Amino acid sequence: MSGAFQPFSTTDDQGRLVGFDADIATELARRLDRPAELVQVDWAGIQAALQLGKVDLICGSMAITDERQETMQFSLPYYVSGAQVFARRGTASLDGARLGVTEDSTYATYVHEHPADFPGVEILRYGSEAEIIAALGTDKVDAFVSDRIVGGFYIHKAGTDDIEAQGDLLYREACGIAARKSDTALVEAVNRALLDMIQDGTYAQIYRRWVGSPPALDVLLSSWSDHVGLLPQARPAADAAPEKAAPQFADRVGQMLPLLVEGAGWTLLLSLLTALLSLVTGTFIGLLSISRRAALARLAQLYVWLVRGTPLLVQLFIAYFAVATFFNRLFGAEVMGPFGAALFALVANTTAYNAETVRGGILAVDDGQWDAAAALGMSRGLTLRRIILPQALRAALPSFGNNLVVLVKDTSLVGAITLIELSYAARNVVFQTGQALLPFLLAAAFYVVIIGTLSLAVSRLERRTDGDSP
Amino acid sequence: MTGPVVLEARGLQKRFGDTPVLQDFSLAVPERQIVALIGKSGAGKSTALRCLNLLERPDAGTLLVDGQTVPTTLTGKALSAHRANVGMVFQHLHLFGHLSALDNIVEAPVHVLGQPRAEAEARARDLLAQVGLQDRAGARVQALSGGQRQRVAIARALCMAPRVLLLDEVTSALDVENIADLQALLHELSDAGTTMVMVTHDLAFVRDGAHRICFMDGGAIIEDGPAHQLLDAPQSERLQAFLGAAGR
Ligand SMILES: Nc1ncnc2c1ncn2[C@@H]1O[C@H](COP(=O)(O)OP(=O)(O)OP(=O)(O)O)[C@@H](O)[C@H]1O
Ligand SMILES: [Mg+2]
Repeated sequence: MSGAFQPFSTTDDQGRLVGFDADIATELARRLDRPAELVQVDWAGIQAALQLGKVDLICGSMAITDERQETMQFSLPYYVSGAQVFARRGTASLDGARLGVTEDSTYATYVHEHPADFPGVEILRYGSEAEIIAALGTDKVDAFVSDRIVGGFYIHKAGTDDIEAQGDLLYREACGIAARKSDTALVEAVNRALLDMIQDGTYAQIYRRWVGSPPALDVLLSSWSDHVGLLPQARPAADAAPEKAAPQFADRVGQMLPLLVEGAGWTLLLSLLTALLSLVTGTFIGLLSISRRAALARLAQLYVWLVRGTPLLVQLFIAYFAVATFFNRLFGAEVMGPFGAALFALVANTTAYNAETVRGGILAVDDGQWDAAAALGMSRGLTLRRIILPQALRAALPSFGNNLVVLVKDTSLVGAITLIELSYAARNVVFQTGQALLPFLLAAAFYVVIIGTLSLAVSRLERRTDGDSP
Repeated sequence: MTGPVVLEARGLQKRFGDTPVLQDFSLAVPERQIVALIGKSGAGKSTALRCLNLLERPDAGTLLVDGQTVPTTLTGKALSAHRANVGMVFQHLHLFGHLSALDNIVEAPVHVLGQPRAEAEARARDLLAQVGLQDRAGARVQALSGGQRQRVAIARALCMAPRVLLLDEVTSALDVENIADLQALLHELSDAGTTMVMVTHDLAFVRDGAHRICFMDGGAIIEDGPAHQLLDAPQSERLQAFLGAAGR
């Protein structure tokens, strides 16, 4: 699950996944006699995570569509909802409105394919419903389309009664639990467990806990017939005692801090490790790229060219889905998790930039230094090590500093492979609290402190070695 | 000056692409002699020096040090040994910017010859004393004056105890006072046994700074003689023209 879809999936103040989807998944695992291992995967990467065996089931509010059924196998629907337009109370027409939707959702596609119903509408995409509500509050959008339940939840959470559902459901959506096509037995077991949960009342209990109202079990069960032929007759048990609604998170900085600090810890750890490792590897590749052995130099230059010619995000996905998967399969154990993959991609990436920095630094050293060393009988290798590199690295220090700053900012992308660093932690806090601004401001403050400290350290080093270059 | 010949070049040829720069360059330098190469800009003076210590590989010709042939195709350790034997002071000095005056001198003995550091430093201090810089051993080279830097460069070239010292455009960066000091220093070195080949444009300096002058034109030495004699009674028209143009 994505952890970004309240009340279905979100994270608590410990960073644990909670919500309707989380509870259903945990309950399913218990009934299937499997360890419940909830994995937070960004929505954009969730299908790849399933196909590559990072997860076995997607219990993440995924609507059952023909297109998705081509690549995955769905359980029977485990809840039914639908697409709903929300707008300010009293909005008469959506003509020319700015309409917010979440990225990669089915809503945008629907609006796009029904231009007659939405004349002149401009679609704006956001990362989550919380961001859309914030956008509505700051007048960046006029209306939005979301899941009926989710939208209602966020509006309630934002404490505004200014926004309401407009008109009927655009269409109904049944969400299922997705598995790999080959896992037929697993899907059958999931179906049986779902039915069990409905029959013994556990399902209704979970539903009420997160959505706040009792489930319309008749609607759910009747939807089952849309998806499979005949089903065993379900006899839902009486509702269990109603539970308290999900606890609201006080939007105080103090409560946001633990997650942000943990994220900042990852950001700092990744940055420092990458900086140190890539200094060594970058110098090595930089030296290779000016090697007199043409083949080696060509190889090093090819490496730099390839890495600089691809976005870090793509490199992260390659490290996570290809390199890590390869090693994990090779050793039959998780030897390279998200952190390993992130470190791998960041080092590979920064190495290329540092290699260019080193190469530039070496070429910037006056040729006369080579001559002078040669005239003293120094070999090429000795000259490089004792004369050229010390001056080249000193001259390259400001450029290394730049690479370091870029690196720290680049770590913000590793959330894409499920490592909750500072930026991703901030997003989680946004989803959790419904507050869009404060978590990002706090995250920005953390970045400023981290980058400021590192820059200061680099410029002190520059000053300490000042005058060492001609 | 009739000591044994220390450095000899016979018929050196060097071309860069299609441009012939050295054509039949021959020169024999006896021990302790100071030879000055003069000639127009582009005559090939620097190239000749660079060929003598094999920073540039001659296309043809023979090189001898102390009567022994030095193959111009040398590589590796033997090449290093030859270069250490033929020290060079560059026009732009090329001192190692990240090292102190002392460390500039110590670098090669320690890392090329494998001398113990203490021993190399003791000798470097002697050399600095010889060029009058004993108190500036620890100074960064940027903190030295132009004349001081040049003396560090000379001390650095002497640290490998070369048989021959090559100096390119030695006076170009010096003021009058420094030029007088340099002349005294070169003669001291000569008296102490160092053989030298220098290139300069400063005809006033070579008159008393060098024992012998070789005039280069068209990639070869076309006139050769004792310094005063060559300057006062030039034989070839080209030397006469050169000296005339130099404002004599
Ligand atoms: N590495 C090189 N590649 C190509 N041509 C070169 C190279 N070095 C020198 N030359 C050419 O060789 C010729 C002689 O150059 P050289 O530096 O030896 O002259 P020079 O007598 O020292 O002149 P100057 O008094 O100006 O220093 C010039 O035409 C120069 O352009
Ligand atoms: Mg020259």
